[in-house]
Amino acid sequence: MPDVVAPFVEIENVVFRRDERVIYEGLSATIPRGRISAIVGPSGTGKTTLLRLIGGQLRPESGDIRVDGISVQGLKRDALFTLRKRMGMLFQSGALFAELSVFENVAFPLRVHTTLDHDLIRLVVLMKLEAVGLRGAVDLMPAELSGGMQRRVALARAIALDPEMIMYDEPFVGQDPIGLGVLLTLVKQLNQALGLTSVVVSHDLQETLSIADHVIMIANNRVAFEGSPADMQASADPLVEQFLNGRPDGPVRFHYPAPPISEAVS
Amino acid sequence: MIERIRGLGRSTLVQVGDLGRASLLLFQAIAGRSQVGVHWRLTIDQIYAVGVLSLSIIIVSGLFIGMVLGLQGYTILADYGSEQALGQMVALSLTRELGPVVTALLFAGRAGSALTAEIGLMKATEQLASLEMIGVDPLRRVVAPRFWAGVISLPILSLIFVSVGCLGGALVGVSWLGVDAGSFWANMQASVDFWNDVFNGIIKSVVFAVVVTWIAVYQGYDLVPTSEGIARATTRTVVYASLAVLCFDFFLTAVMFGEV
Repeated sequence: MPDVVAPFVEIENVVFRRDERVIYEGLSATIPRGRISAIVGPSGTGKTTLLRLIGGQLRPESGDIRVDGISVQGLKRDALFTLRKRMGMLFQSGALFAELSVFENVAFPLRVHTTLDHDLIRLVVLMKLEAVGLRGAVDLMPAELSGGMQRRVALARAIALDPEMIMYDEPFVGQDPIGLGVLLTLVKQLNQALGLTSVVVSHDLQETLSIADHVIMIANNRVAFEGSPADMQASADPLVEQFLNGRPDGPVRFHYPAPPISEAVS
Repeated sequence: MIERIRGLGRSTLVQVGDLGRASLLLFQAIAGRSQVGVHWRLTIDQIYAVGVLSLSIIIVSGLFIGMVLGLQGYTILADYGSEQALGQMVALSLTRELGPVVTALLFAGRAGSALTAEIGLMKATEQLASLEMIGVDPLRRVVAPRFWAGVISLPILSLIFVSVGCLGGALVGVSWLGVDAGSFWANMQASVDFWNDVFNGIIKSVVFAVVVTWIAVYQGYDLVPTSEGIARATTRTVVYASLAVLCFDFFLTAVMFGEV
């Protein structure tokens, strides 16, 4: 696969701090258009934070994040909301609106942002639910669905407005093997069928790498690796190697920084 | 010593920051382009949740407070042989003070805490974040309808509280203790002035409504999205709102009735 695809998201030299803690220190990466990009890395390195920066929910201290050429951090509230119509996001918990039925949840973005009439909305909602295999659940309430099904409904909601990009925040967490397989297939299918730019944040490494075209690994406040999954497997970088093979000690240390044990116990 | 002064400075900064964020929240939620048309339905739903569902506690409390007033008032007034003034006493205490204040306190406990917990849970389950990503401003969609619902409901609840309280006073004073019904109601009618008493009471409860609902939605929106954070924020809502109501009540009373 040629790797010269126009980028959809460009992240340049981003510095981000939460309170005193440095999350990113000059992070740069690109997310190619129409491909599946995986953002991987040890827990607590701020993978979800990156999605929130792209979506403009957080603002970087310095640096530039461009979505389809538009600088996100400079946007006024209204312009930001307009840009967000072009992105969908699937949250870790699904984040369905608890007081609305499955149908109303998927219809929500359509009702807010379009002037489609009732019949047309129904048609679109049923199509989106069909795509995630849950047309039969259209009249249920979110509380009646399993975690995996909730995530699929949330996925249907995220693609309701036919966004150009969809961001998945830890979509595979807490899934049994079947649910995981279903979600993997869906991510892949949606990407191919709709030509979506997909960004998957996950630490289920092997599963994510199996569908990804592009990998960004974040560690130690910056990008530790960016390239194709094959390149990643072949990488000689000790950090990448430790992460791929799941070794407890290496560049990412097993011990939390502390004075030597001889001092602590004397 | 230096450490203490530093701590004082830090906590002052935190509080000023809080006040600033709360003001900004209120401003962004209700200022700018009016979306009353779009959000009228949502506001109605919220009026049901915070107003109508608070009715029972308001009516029961109002009835009992009125009955206690009737009983206490009667024993005191009887000493001076002026039981006929019972109606006046009950009505004035309720319209000027007890109605707005007790309703606001009950409202903070019943509806304010529920508002905080609900918004907090929406934050914890990423519903607010997902509204943002769908391109809907949660301040307008979630906070504004709840704020308006509180501001509309509380004064009405307060009026209901006062009316039921007067009936409770009559129940004890007239039906039980034998105050003459004619003088009870006539005295009440003669002494309660619409502008001076009823209207001032309404102004009080509108102010309380803004304060209590504002505190409730801010605490919900700003909390740390964990179960502990929600528990703390709910407690804070009730404590801050109750204290604010009592404090504002003093100043409002001083302004409204202080010159007499």
